[in-house]
Amino acid sequence: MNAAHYDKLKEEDFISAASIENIRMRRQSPLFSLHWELKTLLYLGVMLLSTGLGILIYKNIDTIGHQVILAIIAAISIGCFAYCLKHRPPFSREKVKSPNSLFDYLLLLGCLSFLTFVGYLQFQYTVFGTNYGMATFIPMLLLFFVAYEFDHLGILSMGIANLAIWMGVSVTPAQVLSSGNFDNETVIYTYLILGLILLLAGQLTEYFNFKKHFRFSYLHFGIHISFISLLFGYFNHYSSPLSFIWLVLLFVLAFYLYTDARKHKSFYFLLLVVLYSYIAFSIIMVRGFITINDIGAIYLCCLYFIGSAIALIRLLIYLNKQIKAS
Amino acid sequence: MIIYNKTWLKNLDLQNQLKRAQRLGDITAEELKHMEEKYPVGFYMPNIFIRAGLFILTQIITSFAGGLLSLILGSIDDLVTSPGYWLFLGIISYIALELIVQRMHHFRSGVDDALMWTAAGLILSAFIGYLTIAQRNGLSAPFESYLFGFTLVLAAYFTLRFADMLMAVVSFLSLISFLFFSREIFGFYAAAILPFLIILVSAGVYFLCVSWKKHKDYENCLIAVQVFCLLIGYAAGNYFVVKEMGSMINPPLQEGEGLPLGWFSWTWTIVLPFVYISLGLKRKDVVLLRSGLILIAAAAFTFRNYYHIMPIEGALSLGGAALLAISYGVIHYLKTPKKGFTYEEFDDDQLMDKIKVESLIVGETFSGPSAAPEGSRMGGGSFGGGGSSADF
Repeated sequence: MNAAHYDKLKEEDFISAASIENIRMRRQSPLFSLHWELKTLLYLGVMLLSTGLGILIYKNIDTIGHQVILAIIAAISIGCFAYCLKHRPPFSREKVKSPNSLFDYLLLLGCLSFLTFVGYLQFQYTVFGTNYGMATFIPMLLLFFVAYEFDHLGILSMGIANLAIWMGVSVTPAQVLSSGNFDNETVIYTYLILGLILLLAGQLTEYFNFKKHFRFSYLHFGIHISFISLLFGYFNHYSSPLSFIWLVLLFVLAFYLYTDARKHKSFYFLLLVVLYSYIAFSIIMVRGFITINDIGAIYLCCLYFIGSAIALIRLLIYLNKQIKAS
Repeated sequence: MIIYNKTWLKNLDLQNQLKRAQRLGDITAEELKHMEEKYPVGFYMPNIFIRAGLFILTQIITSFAGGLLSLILGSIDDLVTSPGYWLFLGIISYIALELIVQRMHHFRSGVDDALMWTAAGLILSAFIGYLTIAQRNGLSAPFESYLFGFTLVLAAYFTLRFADMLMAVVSFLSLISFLFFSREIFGFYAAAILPFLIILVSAGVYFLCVSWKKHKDYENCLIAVQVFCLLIGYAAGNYFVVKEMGSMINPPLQEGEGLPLGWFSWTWTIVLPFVYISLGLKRKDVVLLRSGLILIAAAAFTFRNYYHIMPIEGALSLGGAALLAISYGVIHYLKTPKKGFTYEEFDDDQLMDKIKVESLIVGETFSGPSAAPEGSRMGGGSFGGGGSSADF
């Protein structure tokens, strides 16, 4: 607090003497927090180390040294987990505050080196055979387990990303994936299912009151994935007369998520739902304008966008007020 | 000069500091509420999500409104493509911006951001249009000097009027670019003088910003410009930058030929980040400290570019381990606050915490490793090609 504000506060009647004293103390011996600097350093350290070890293994894969490196990586992983097990707070269904960021990042390093280890085992000894689904399924399970056991949001996000990879791998065989020959429809259905699973998972965390704060991560990925796959589904079936079903589905989902976001007072999800629905609605409108097939349609189209965007701005401002007031 | 209600700006600053005091537990919620009522802020300033939404929507409105107008006027010869028309559109956007801010008291609401950048962009393109015409009629001086000179003036105006951080940065960067492109006046010695000139200018602007600290209304702008002064000042003396820029201006150096004054550049490259950090710690200045930390990475990359002491994977692993060890040591050391430093986080941004940025970054950057091995090694060799080169 700077001097001018401080002097002003002292003259106020309804600021108690105790509060003034608190502020005076704070001004006298200001503390400088290095929290974010250290956190960034930890993040960079983990990133550099795990990348470096990954390359190290890869380059030495056929030499004598590789088993030593492998042992080192296993040791790092075990060491990190050991540290975390020793310092962990007891498990709880609620949010558990981690002891410090060091704990968070060592846990992350432990998981990453475990993943490198599993990847190496699969490559060198093909422990999972040619069952590629299995080779991604095990790490995914571990990630989810660690995320819940130690209450780590970052690892949960990694787990969700791995879930996507696992579903992609098991739906389209590895050969198809490497040749880049996607069967569009299957991929879209897979991702739609994935998105819905994530949304369901998000709602279940709340329903069972089990790690409720994980809900955000599930919904964040779920909303983006399901809306995008619904939009792609529509374009994939563009010429079919039943294509509108995709958009109907989208609006139904949007309505459900809208009421949900209103209930939870989440600006972020509200914005996502409103913008995705706006995109879907505009797609219908533009398709309509195209069918008119006249120069006047372009004017109408411009007017539509100007008008609808103004309406939406008013809506957002209104919703913002509503949520703040409640 | 500033468009906003000055009392409100002062109250906003007071409210922010009181909110922080309340988060720290120094004052009670009731006291905060009283103060907020006594020192009201009348701005419309929504949170970051709504701001992003309003920004996108305003962009849609301005572009379609511009499109519609151009469509109607398109039948008139050459009107739509003339610079005067863009200037006209820019002025319309600017008037809309002034109205929105003055009448509806928008303050960083997304609407004003969008209108400001649209207006600035359109006015700038009009200027470029006029400049091209002038050049066709035999304007001799370099095109870029005029361009960046104009950007400097324009961005400086917007900074003074709307106290916008990004505009402040743009105006500073335009100043540097202006100097760079006006190098011809130094004649033959341009490549030698330019680094020192840019260092001096950056230092000058930095100290100006520090001494203008009392202008609270522009606090954010001044901080943003300070950061860029430090970064640009460093870059101007960095060995890699000096060498590459030098060979752009003059004929490139021969193989094995060192840079004149190479020792100076190397000292600057390696020592300056540490100077920043130690000054930052000594003065408890976040700007200096964080800039220094970023620049250590730059120094490391510069060094590695010329001297390959060890292979990349060794450097990465060792660097990572060293970073972990250092942070572990510092966290351990600061378990109880010492010398006015603490590891505790006390001023957390509530909103950023809500979208859990950290977890998203972790998920984004670390979800690769487990995925890459199985799929791509199967392909045979595609993974192998990358591993042996340095760009891994």
